[in-house]
Amino acid sequence: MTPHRVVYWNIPGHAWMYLPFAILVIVFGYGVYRRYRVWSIGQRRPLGPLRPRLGRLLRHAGLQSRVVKRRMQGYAHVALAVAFGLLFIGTLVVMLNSDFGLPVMQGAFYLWFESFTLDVAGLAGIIALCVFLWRRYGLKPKGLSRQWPDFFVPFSLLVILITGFMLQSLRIYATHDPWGGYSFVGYALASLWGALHLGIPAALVIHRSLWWFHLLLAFSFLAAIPYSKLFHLFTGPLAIFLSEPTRASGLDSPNLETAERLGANFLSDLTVKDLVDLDACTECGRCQDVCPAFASGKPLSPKQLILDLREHAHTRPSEPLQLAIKDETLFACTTCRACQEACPVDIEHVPKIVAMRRFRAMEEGEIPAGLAEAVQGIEERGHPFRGSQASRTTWMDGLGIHEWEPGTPCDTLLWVGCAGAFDPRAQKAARALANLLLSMGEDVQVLGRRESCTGDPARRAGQEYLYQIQAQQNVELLQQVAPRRIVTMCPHCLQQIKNEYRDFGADFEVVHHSEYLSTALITGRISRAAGGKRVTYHDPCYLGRYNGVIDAPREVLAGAGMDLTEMPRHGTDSFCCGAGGGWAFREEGAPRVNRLRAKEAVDTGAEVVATACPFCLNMMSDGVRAEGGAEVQDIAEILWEQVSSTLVKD
Amino acid sequence: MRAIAFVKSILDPEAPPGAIRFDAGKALGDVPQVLGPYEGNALELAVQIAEASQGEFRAVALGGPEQEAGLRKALALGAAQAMRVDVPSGFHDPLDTARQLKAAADALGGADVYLFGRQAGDWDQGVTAGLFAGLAGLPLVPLVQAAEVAGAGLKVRREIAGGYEEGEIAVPCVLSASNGPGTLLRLPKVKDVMLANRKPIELRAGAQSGAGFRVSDLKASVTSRAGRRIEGDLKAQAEGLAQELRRAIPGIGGGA
Amino acid sequence: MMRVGALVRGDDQSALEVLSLARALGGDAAETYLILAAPAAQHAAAGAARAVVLEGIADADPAQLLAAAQALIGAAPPDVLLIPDGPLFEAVGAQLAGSIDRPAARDVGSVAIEDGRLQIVKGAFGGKAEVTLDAGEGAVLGVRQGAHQADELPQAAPQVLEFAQPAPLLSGRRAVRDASGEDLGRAKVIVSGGRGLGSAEAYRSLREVANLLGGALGASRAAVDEGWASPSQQVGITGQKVAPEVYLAIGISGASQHLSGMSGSKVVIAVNRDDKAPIFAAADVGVVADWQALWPELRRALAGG
Ligand SMILES: Cc1cc2nc3c(=O)[nH]c(=O)nc-3n(C[C@H](O)[C@H](O)[C@H](O)COP(=O)(O)OP(=O)(O)OC[C@H]3O[C@@H](n4cnc5c(N)ncnc54)[C@H](O)[C@@H]3O)c2cc1C
Ligand code: SF4
Ligand code: SF4
Repeated sequence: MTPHRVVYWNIPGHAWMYLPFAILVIVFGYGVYRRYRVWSIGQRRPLGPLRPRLGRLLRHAGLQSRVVKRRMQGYAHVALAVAFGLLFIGTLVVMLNSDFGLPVMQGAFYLWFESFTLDVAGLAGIIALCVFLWRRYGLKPKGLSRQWPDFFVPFSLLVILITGFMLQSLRIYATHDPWGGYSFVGYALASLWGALHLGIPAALVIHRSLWWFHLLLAFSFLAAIPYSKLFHLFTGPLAIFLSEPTRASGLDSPNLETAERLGANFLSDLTVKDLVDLDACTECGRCQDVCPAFASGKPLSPKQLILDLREHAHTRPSEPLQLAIKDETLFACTTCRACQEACPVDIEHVPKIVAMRRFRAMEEGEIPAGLAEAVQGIEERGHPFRGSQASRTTWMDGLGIHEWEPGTPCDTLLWVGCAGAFDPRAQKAARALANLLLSMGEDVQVLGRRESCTGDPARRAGQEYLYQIQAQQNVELLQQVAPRRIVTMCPHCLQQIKNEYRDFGADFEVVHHSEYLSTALITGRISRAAGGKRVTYHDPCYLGRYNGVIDAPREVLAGAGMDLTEMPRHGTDSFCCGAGGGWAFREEGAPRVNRLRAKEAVDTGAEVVATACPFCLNMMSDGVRAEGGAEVQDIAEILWEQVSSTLVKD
Repeated sequence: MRAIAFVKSILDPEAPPGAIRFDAGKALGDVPQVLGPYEGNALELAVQIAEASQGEFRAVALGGPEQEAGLRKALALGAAQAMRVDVPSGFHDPLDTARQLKAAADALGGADVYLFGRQAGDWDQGVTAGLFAGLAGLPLVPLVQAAEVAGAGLKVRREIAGGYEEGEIAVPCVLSASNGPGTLLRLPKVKDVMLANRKPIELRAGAQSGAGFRVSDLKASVTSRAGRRIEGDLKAQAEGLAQELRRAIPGIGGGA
Repeated sequence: MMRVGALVRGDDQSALEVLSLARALGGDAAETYLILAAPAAQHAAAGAARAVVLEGIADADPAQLLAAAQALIGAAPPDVLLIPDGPLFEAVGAQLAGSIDRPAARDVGSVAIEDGRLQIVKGAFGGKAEVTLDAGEGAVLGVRQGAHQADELPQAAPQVLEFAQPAPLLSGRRAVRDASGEDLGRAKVIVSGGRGLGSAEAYRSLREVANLLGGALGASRAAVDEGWASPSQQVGITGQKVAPEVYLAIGISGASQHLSGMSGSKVVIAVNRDDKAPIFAAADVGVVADWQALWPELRRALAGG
């Protein structure tokens, strides 16, 4: 006889199950519709090419590449997802057999898939759920909440799996199923019933009632999905698909002249993606764990921000967002994007934060002290460094660098940036870089007094209007200069000119000085040095996470003969220095972000802390000094020191 | 209440030394034109008074096109009207300035409160508010650090040696604004800036009067000290500085 | 021949300077007016011709001072009226000028009469420049303190005018001294902080420095605007003009408007993290350092010796 089992064994009126099933479909459908209604009020954005989006969907949703970054719970999550996927297929097979009369529940397929594999899956699911419960309630990590749905969801899943196994075992026990061994969990349980001398009639009654219980529980659970965080099963992949697939800005450049509202203060001002995000959050807390604002005790948790907005969307969708998100929260963000990098479902926190800042800054004139002065400085003087008595060219006095003159060609343009020109610490780095370029015999030019702020601090502060004016002016000027390439030492300028200026018609070849110097080392235009000190490298957020430049600065350090020790958090997982999002211009209360990062750097035991951003340079200098540690230098300073000392020796 | 703020724009007073050249009686330089900081204080008071009394304020400046910086800011902050008395840029006799501002104010229908900055950072005259009050026969409150509407008049806070004095004054009156807790200029809302950029600035032909002060010479003043630097690491610098302080101030703490 | 007059209050140094300047310009014909606070007896030495005595005015009240000034100069004001630049000029100078239809100028360093025309030199652009003005046939001038020698003046008791003192400018007035109400004008040592300190807390660290050095606390306009210091602590062209033995400037860039207020100091010491800050060009001793980093070391160095 072919191995098989009787479908709906011992369940006479099983057709009644279509009544609760219909209810399930209605409740589920209504739940989805309710969410969809909120999403549909968002601003629509064109999707653009689909390939990168699909690629990301495969990596992040299919392979769950971000989920597994957290080893234990990551694999448990994958196990649970795969297990339920398989169990779902198993249930479909039952459906094919009974409702469509396809005799699939037999033979080897029945034995190895429907019996054995599904038992493995069920068991794996139980183990994964136990891991989750143990982590949340045993280890009690900070990022996870412990409210009753947090318990109820995994617990009911556990009950569904356990009752499933019980049903299986009772059937095997009562029918003396000859192929019971393939369902090894059920089989083991069945022998337990034997040992307990459970009577067959009693087993039949228990089986029948348990079957209905299992069914109703599973249906209720399914019906609850659109009403709970489990909805991420659907919204997660959707959010991943809709997320910005490149490393460009992720911020839109609205036409302010025609916008009915500047920035976002209502759900309808956010994009569809923003609204899907709210329902995609799994409350996993990964974003909160990596957030520098949260770590330094500021009133911002990216997770809570999403949850507060979700709550707002579900309970008072037509009220102003200001009710949900306080200014202190909004302006605490450094825009470091660590949260976005960590989020397994590609929720984009920064565009929402900036959109809301835009409203506060532009419609209400609310920008935190310090930052407001910086923004005003950009407006009045073209740079944010209020009080600087330097001019755009003071830093290069005596170096012999040419200022570009209209009508002349330009090969390599050094975009110095406001920090390099006006900040005393960054000026030194700018000089070192200029010296390196000159020593390569490069005909570098600068824009000098024609250079003006890229507008980055204004954009991050929400002053999009001023930003767009700066952007347009700079793009026009750069198009007029038409350099073959632009080199900049500021990752924020890089991000602007290379990525965000695209919305204003820019298409320039722009490289960060780390990239330029590492190429020069490879091609031998700068000779390598040896005998450097022990160094650790701090990845600037706008260089690493935003622009994916991770290796180049390390190659420069290697070329300078330095001996690199990494900090625990580096590369795209780097931890912000605390300067981004306008914080470079604000007074930060203790505990300060830069102290946290500086401690990490000092703890490596390095003699020199290297970085590649003028803002990081200042923040890390302050922090490292307070932590009683090493010297902080830009990679250009380190390389120039090493190279020039070799020159002297030669 | 109706207020008029006189808003003068000047070459950025925070420009680095040397950025402004003095040549043939003129100040020149590749330096932005900004609203003078004390004029900013006056503007802030105008906004507050108009808001609190549900009244309105207007803005007037005298000079060339360079004066638009301040007038635009005033419009962005809600000025009902902005007027420029068109005279050539550069030095202008203070009494004549006050006269022409008075005529412009009268043309705008006058006001309950006339607000000036205590001193404009170009020619540092610091007399326009007083001259205006003298010409108009109105009381002048010098160096106002805060003002609020109190009944039909104002409650003001003015600077005096070592502190401040508070009290009430009836309108009409003239205030010269200084920096203080109640006069820090707010940021305009961007929406309003955008709208302001579309509003007109009225031009009023300035009268030509030959009388009064004339610049006969303008030159940069040089005062510099041969400074010595204390070099070394932080510790060395601190010790050097402590030594220097001990030498200069006999009898301070720790040894010597 | 130009008629020269001087209006002073009390007989402090600046009053004596202005009276002397008036005599230098107008000779014995110079008309000198004196505003006195009651009791007035000890002021006879000021050498003024006419005087008015004000009762119970503690703070320079503009309305009362103006009325007194108008009573003193009467219906035929002199062509040139000299007033010490300071509280008196602030309160009445320009308004008096407007009321008699004369131009006015302040921060005037030198006054000369050439061919019947008044020539004055005054500061401009925050002290970055000096401007020489042809001031025509008459003006009310605020004379910078220290710009003219105080000469020996004739001793004569002034004629005290009957004067109906008006009500003060503000009704229901109340004077408040600043908590930190130190007299910067008299301090031997001034420790001044600017925007570079970065926070109210850092500004407070200067209090400790001032205590260690036995000095008073000053500020730049930026530090006042930040709310760290009170307006009466502001040093500069629109703040206090100070000339201590030692002026310690911390986190102050050295804008010309600030320098104008403290350039008379005997020794100027500056701490700034920007080695190109203009304050260094106005200092005898410069320390290029970050105050936050330097302060703990300096505290140790001052305590340890
Ligand atoms: C009409 C008029 C009148 C004025 N009157 C006055 C006046 O009476 N008094 C006055 O002060 N100003 C006056 N000003 C304002 C003046 O122009 C300047 O804006 C002001 O003096 C700047 O103050 P600051 O030096 O504190 O600030 P900033 O110019 O901002 O300088 C801050 C300095 O601190 C340094 N710094 C930053 N961080 C640190 C650190 N950690 N350690 C050490 N140093 C650091 C910086 O390098 C910078 O040099 C007037 C302006 C006008 C137009
Ligand atoms: S961008 Fe950085 S600071 Fe902002 S919420 Fe995300 S992790 Fe926190
Ligand atoms: S936003 Fe993303 S990372 Fe943060 S809790 Fe939600 S799912 Fe997790």
